[in-house]
Amino acid sequence: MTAIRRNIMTDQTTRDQYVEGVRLLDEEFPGVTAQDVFNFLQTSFPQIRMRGREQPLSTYDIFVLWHIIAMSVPLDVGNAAHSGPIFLPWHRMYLIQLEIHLQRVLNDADFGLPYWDWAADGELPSADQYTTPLWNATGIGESRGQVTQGPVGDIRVRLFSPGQGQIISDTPRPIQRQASNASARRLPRKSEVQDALDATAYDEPEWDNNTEQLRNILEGWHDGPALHNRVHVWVGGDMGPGSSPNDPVFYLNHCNVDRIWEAWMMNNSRDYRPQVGEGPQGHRINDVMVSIIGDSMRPIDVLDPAQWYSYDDLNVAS
Amino acid sequence: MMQMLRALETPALRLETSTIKGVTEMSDHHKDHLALTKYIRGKRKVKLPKGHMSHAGHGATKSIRRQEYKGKSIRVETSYKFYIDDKPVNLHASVMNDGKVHCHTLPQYAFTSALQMLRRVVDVMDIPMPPNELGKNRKKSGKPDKPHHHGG
Repeated sequence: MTAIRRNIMTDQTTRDQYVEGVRLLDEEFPGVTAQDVFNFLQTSFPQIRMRGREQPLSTYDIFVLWHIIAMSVPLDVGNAAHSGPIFLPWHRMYLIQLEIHLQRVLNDADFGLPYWDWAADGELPSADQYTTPLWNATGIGESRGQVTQGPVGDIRVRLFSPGQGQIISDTPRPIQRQASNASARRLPRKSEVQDALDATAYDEPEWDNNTEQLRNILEGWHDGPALHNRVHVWVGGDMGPGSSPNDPVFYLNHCNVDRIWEAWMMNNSRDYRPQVGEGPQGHRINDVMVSIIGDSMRPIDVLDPAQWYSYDDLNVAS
Repeated sequence: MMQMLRALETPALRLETSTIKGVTEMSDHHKDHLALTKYIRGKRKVKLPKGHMSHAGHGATKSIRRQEYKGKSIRVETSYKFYIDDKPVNLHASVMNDGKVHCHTLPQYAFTSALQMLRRVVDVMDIPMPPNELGKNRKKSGKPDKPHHHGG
């Protein structure tokens, strides 16, 4: 049986399991310290500089580290996880790994990550978007300021990235948010999701943040910040820099991004480009995707997620 | 029973074994993904994609925009040098075709001006810096500050 991913706004059980799961991952210390990570980076990623406190790091921190590392591997186009075709498959791999670890700590092999259908909230007046039931103690905590309510209020930020290739091992602190800020007052809307669904190809030359096909529209560079990017910017605070997975909202956002991709894939023969021999290296269908948890996968391995999960609803634009 | 199992196991051991419910119901493929530390501890080498660049230069950033227009090939090359308090900062900034600027420090942002971007970068960097304890010979405990946190 595979997991079914459900809407966090309508499924309280999944919501409760999710916030408890991320809290457990943040309180689980698998025996790795900041010094271990420092040594690992010096050997494997010397372009990344790390400084700060020596302290034990949690399973959740290792996921944050993974994202920072992928962002710090530049390619001819974008980096190993963003601003190019690899964006969607890399994050699918990343979410699969988190889901597996949530299943483990929750003792529930069928647990599916919830998605946040942010475009539904984007249809609300801007002032109502950051006061929905998602943003309280029974959800994922406050939308503005320090997050102190509910299980997410127990999560501590230990690794922070103030710039590309930089990691600070910081004094543990609560998550920070600034929802609906000057850089993005409102969330994306359903009509913008429909624009992504209308794309006729997954990606196209020059494969960068100027194209007008699915990946770039969904990542949010076209008329941006839009869709995925806009959600990061709208939440603000810790959702801004490369250490954005510190905020569990990161995974809710990306689960919805993945859901929109899946809705598009269902109607477009699971098309992926660049195929073998075309486009920039590091983004091609058979290229290795950077992983520090689990085995590396390739885009071709994750184009059909049926062995891991499915979505309860793929009507993403209505 | 499951709680007892979890209390008896150290976290590190729990991650390397597969004795708890949920994990046992997973496929071997899933179990292989449970080892959290094999890369960090050097037991397995991280695979990097072809074409990766380990060093991307310092200080200057150049972006090239190309388009075909009325049968002509047009190109705009833009170079940036960023400084904060007269110190060069490598932001890997680039200009998109619509003229907006973005950088990897704030990977989801698209700014209408480079100055606006640099102001936001200063906001992100403006944090109290903890004393550096890394890169020195220190005893590694691998346990959290709070004693007996895991009931062991």
